[in-house]
Amino acid sequence: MKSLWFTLAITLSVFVQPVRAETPQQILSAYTAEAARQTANYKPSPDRGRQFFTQHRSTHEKMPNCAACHGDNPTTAGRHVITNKTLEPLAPVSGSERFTSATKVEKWFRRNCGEVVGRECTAAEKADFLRYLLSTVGA
Amino acid sequence: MRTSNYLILAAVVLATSACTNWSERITLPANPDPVWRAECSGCHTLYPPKLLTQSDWKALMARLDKHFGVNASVDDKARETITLALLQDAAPDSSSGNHSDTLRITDTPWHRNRHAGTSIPVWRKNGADKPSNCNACHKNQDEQLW
Repeated sequence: MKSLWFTLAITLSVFVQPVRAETPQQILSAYTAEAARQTANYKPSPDRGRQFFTQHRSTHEKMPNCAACHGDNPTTAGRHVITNKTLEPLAPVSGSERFTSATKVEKWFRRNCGEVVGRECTAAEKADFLRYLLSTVGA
Repeated sequence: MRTSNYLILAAVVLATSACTNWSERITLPANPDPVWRAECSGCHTLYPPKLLTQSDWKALMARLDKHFGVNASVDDKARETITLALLQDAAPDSSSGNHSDTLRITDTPWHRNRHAGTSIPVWRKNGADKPSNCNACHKNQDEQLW
């Protein structure tokens, strides 16, 4: 009987396994590959990523750029400019769950790019941005 | 008993029941739906569903593209899941203290009553800046008791 329960538990655990966690590097690689298919010799640039993060736009009056909510320094906590909610640091610093689910990352790019940039972001912009965030780790 | 006495009695009963309702501890559902938690608390406090009526939540969920100045749209599946989670624990439509024409919880009679005497400067002093940032003052680690 005991072994039956054990087998059942093992079987169930296989089914309820969450989607395997991804690493920020894997997500960066995927965006880089996509961008390279669109632009020959594309290489992610932390400088372009930083510019993307801080560039002022005119789509949303209260949220002119990413930094409006996420703060100028992505390794420290941000503050939502409308709700004042404290936002976890964007940079995937140790212990952070940032950029460990490609689905979640894509969802937030879609939502926030639409709101702040006024359009979907390109794979190159996403790769640059993630490259920038990874370059800030340990800074 | 004279009519006026009945009136006084009715007023006392009404006032007592209103006070009981308004001093009730507000809790989140025991097992918050993970989609609801992830989608809504990404930007703001996870507001207990019982703070608005069922009709209010339905109206709010129908216009996520114009969500208090933000486009908070989610996909259809997530919208249905979140709406269901909210309606399960929402205040009934008969609970007028939890209704708000603006769909803002801070505009409900319940919220106004509970925070009567709390001036905006107090909210500002606590770093909330606005009354909708509950956790600036209500610091409960498990977010269960307000």
